Amino acid sequence: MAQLQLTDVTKLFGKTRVIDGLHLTVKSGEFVVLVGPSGCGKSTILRMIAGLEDLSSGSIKMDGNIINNLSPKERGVAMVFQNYALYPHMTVRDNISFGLKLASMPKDEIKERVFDAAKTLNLTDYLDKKPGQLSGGQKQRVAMGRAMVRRPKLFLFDEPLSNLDAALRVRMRAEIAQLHKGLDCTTIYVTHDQVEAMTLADRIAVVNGGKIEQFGTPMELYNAPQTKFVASFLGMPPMNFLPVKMIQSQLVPSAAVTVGFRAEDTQVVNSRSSSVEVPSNEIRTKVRDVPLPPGSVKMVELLGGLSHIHVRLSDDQDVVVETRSALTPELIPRIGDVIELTADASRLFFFDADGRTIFKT
Amino acid sequence: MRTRSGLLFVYALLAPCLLVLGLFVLAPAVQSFYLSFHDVDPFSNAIFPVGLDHYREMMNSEEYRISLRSSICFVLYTVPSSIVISLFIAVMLDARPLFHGFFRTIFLVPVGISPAMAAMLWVFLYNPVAGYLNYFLSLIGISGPQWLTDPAYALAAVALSTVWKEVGFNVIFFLAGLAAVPSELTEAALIDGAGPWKRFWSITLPMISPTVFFVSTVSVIHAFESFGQIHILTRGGPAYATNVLVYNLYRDAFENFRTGFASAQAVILFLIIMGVTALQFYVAKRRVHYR
Repeated sequence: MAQLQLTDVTKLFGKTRVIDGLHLTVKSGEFVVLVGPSGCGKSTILRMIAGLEDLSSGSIKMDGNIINNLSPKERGVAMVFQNYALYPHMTVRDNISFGLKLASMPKDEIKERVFDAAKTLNLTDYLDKKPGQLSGGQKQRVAMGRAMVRRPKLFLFDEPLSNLDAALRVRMRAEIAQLHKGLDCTTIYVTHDQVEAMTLADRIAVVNGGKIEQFGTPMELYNAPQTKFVASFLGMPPMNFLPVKMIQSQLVPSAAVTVGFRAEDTQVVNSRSSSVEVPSNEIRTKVRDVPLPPGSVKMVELLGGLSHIHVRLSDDQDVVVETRSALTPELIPRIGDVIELTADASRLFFFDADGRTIFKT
Repeated sequence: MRTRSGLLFVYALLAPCLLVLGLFVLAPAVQSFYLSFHDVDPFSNAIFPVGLDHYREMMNSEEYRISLRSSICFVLYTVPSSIVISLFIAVMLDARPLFHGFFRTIFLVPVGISPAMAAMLWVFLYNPVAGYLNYFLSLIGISGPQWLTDPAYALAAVALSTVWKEVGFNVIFFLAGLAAVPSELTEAALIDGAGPWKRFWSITLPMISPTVFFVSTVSVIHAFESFGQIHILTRGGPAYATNVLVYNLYRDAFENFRTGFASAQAVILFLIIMGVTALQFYVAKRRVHYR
């Protein structure tokens, strides 16, 4: 387990500033997820921590010691790559034990560690197979095994699940969470998937344009985003934004202020289409609910237990409403139906023109 | 499903290539095989069957044995050294040093020079009186040998000029092979704690083994078939020192006008190359890793 501290880290590729004066402290044993859109610099941060990329300026400390100039080997880190990076000409056993052999570990210990890792990761039947004979999930497990056996001070994951199909991703996510609990190892995990970030992290760092927008626990980020970017990035479907301000519980157009509210805090209160009746449990109009301009249904996504209704409001703004009960066929709104919506007044976020959170109701 | 007209179109596209191959490669090869069992009168072109006489003569010919030994030595001198040197250069260039574009061009220049031109260049370099090679050797106090006229040095001298020309050709293939090795693999090895040598030996080399196999197979064939540089540099001499199989064959066919005997040598050369290539394929089965 290691404590990690990045101070004023900057990375330039030519004249392009990819990472800009980044500060980040990871506590010992913590699971930190770096999340952000493609090209935001999150993988570069991870590669700098691993020692695969030099820093242009700043310092990285591990347990209080500066490691800027140490080779990856000397840093005692292990990394799981997006494309697994398994050695295709070696068997699973050789892949897992490669690093241990390089460290001149006694053969018996190598055997024991490889067997333990294979048992933990359900790979015992595949030890003599080559990576080409394995499925995506198995390859990913071999990559994790290779990292595990070295008992690193720091575990690095670079978008490890992005090449897997949806079902497998959910399963592997659970396995990674379990693995982290078992190993109790400081972990830094890079992803662009906010669900992975929310479910795995002790703390999430939202990276945007080479800077950390906000660093906190998943619920902190969800409930109290400091910027519009963070608010839009976390939560599925993304937060609704309207260029309005609130005067006496009414929303009025504004150029300087944007109000944000989540799809799950938006309700359908009335439908002008005779064919649509909103189930009674959806109508929970409260005194504090803020009416939105009326809109027409653009699209309905039925996800089983919940549904997403995409609505275009009369002022040409698009919002998404999440209904938390299964809609029976006769209750599904049809495209073009005019409906009225309200947003939960206790869960409104106000952002200034620069995207900073002004206040939250 | 392939339609009839589609299939006809495929054959139509293949036809020119098949025609050229058939006319200029397959037909002469078949004719060689046929002639290897015959004698051809150089004046009347009359053909007389002689059975296995030419093959028997080859087995008993001291000249042919020397020629075979020269060829084997020539392959051993040129193939391993050109592969090792070109792989080294390719790995260096792949690391993208300063001015790598310039260096790459320099190493590739020999490929673009015609064999005759290249050989002429080496004639000047090897010249014992006016040549640069002996001049540079004299600077460090070594009196250079008579490169092309001393039987002890001639084959090595021809081999050196061949390696010089082959290296550029091989570098092209090795560079392509190295470019196809995913960078994550070397990075993973770096994190696993592998040093540069271990990374090359355990990761890069197995990853480019298909390229190494291809280059070594082609190099062996090239080496067995070398003719141009030998013809210009030494004409098979001195004292048969560079009289490799192809050169011996050439002399029998076009200087001694023994077409049948030369054809028999061509058939045996073909079998030798086939045998060596088959051996290479056999080794490759275990050593080459295709992704």
